[in-house]
Amino acid sequence: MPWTFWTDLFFLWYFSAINVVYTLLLFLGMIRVYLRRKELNIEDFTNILHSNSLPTICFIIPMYNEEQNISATIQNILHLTYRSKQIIAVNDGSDDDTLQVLKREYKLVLIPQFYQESIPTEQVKQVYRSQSNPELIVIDKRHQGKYDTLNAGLNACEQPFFLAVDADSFIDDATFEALVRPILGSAETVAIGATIRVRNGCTLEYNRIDTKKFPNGVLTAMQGLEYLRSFLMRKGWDWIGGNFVIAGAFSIFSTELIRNIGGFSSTAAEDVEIVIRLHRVMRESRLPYRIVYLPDPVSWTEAPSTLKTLGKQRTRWHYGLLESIWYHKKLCFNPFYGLVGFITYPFMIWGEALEPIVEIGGYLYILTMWFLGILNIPFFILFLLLSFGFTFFYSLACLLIEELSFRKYPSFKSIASLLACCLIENFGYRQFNACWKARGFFRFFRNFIKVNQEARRVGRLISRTAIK
Amino acid sequence: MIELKTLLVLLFFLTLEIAILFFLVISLVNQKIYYYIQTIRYHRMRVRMTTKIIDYLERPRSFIPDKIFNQPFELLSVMETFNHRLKGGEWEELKKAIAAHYLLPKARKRAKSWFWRKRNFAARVFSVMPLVQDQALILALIRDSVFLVRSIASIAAVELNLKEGVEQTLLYMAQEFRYARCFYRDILLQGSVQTFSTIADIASKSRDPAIHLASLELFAGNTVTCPLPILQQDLESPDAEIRRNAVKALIQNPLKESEKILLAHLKDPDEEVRAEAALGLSHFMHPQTFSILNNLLKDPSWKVKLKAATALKRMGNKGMAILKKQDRVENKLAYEVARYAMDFLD
Repeated sequence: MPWTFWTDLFFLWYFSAINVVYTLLLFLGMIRVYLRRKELNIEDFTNILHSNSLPTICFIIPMYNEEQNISATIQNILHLTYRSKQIIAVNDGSDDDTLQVLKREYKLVLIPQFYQESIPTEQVKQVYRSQSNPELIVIDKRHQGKYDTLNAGLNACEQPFFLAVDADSFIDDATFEALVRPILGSAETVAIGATIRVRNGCTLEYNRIDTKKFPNGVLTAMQGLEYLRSFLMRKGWDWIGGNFVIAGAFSIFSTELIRNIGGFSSTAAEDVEIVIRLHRVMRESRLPYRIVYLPDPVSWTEAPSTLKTLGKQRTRWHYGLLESIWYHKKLCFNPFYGLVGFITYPFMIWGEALEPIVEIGGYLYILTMWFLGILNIPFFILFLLLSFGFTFFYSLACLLIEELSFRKYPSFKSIASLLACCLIENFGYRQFNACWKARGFFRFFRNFIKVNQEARRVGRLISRTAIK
Repeated sequence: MIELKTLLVLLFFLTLEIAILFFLVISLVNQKIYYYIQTIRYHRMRVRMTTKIIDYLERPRSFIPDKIFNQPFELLSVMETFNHRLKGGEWEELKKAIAAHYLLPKARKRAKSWFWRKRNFAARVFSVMPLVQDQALILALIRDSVFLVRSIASIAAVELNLKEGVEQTLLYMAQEFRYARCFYRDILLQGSVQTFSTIADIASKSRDPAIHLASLELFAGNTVTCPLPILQQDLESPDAEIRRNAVKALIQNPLKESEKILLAHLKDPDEEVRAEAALGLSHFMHPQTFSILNNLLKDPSWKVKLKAATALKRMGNKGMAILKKQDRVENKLAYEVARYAMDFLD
């Protein structure tokens, strides 16, 4: 057999296997969305809004150079119809006027540091509380990174659950009401995630998201479509109890548990790492637990609007993913961790971490074949059509599910733009994405010594964790 | 030859894919149009039902069945909206007539259904229109495995004051978690004096700490006399959470023995119990109480200090004077907590 046969076979196998998994996840996700819609149709939310008994939910907002967004984000949370809330905004040593904006708009006054630091963080300079909105507490600390900022907020949190929200995200009030029961419904729930959508072009009307002007650019539409696809897939993973990602822009965690496992760790994707750590710790402690992923589109986040910023984001995400995989390599094919160790973790390596390398390898292989004059042109065209057709089919199915369930894109313009993106994303956008992710791959190997040191620290943290 | 076969296979998949894509596009467009029509239809239906009900309320007369009410789900939703806003009078009469004609017969059938959505419909109908004759069905629904059925059925049970229903709701409150617990708490707090005497009765007979905790939480949330024997037992409980809730219940419903009990609990090993006891002292305006609270501002626990400061603030001018008197040099922490209480606490 010529070497090209085996290479062809490898690419065909990889393509088919990965797409079979994606299709299965799509179906599982679709069923979950359908069941959730049935619940939502009959639930009477006035009971939630009228309740005087609901516990306080704590929102932790890490901020770094967010003077443009922070005021609107805090206003959005303050105006949520859910009454019992506390907001802890943590300034991670911003270079701009983030803190001054807050001081000016919310009449901040200095208060004593009322909590004990259970997780070590960079030095906290001051703690403030708003006189105009006493539910708002602002912590000003030295710069260290998002993970450290979240840890500082976690130290100050006195509520059983905290919600990590990005400073550039909107929370849709109507959808948030629907989340209250699932958030607080089960004793075994340790973390909850919900769907994130792209907010570029959207506005808040009476604290509810208005998507009539979405999307406001091709890049935004492409990302909007990507978010739709990936969150439906996560719903599928959730079905088999192997969800590995809860988006940092809107995630809910049990305060006590996160404190017990040592808080967030130093990584570019602290949201992925903490979820894998939770799976690992809970399984090692042999305790029942649930990491829930809800399909409700609650949080709307600002997506990068230029290729440069998008590239940086994707590189960072992939680098963070690789870091998290390396920190928890013990899980790989380890029967002790059940489905998580046997299916989801290996898929993370095979289907997500290695995907850009295989994709770029495929492009290079085609170029080489063409250069050597042995490229089978009809086969190549058909394969390309099939591959791009599958992505189109997948995206279209996601759009249809969205239209059948939450209908957050009411205008024909939004749907038509997203449909057009389904067609054109294969030409350019996809290849760019693969290159950005591959850059994350190389960065990972360049910083391997540092990553390995942190991996050891996380390992020690887990071995010290004792959960009852 | 092999290549031709491979090409044919690929062509087959491509055709299949195009067919699926075509189907998806058609479905998407269809759904968009269908949803648009449905939305208009649904809104019109609701408007017609609401207008008719308002008309009956404005010009009371005997109810004549009308085909516009013949959509049970939409009708129930409209009825729930009215029921949240109106109580008694013409509304009760009209509600009874509409429910008897359109909703209750269906609810009685659906209460035994295999599908939880139908049982949920039945529970919702019973919560809007609870009747003693349906108590067997309500009690069956209260034991349902689905939260969205049993929680709604308990509204009907508590409204009808069914002892078994109250007992079951209290049990759920004790067993369930966070929001679910809060939901049952709300239902029970809306209960009558009779409901609370049932709760006291259950708590006095039960040895389950969860039941005691739930009962204390209810007594702490409402102004009804909590029998001292139950409280005394819980005030001496080895469980700090029970002691804390017992102190809270005592503060909400003060008895003549309260001050003595609260003073004793200022020495409790648990800081949260001490904090609650300090807060409770705000009801007793004796000179020695001011002095005790002043001393508590120097307590090593932030929680105790904070509650003592809150109590002083609640005690009016004399308490405020103590807070203002705190000196930064003499005791920085007491000064800070006093400032904090003056700026923020109720």
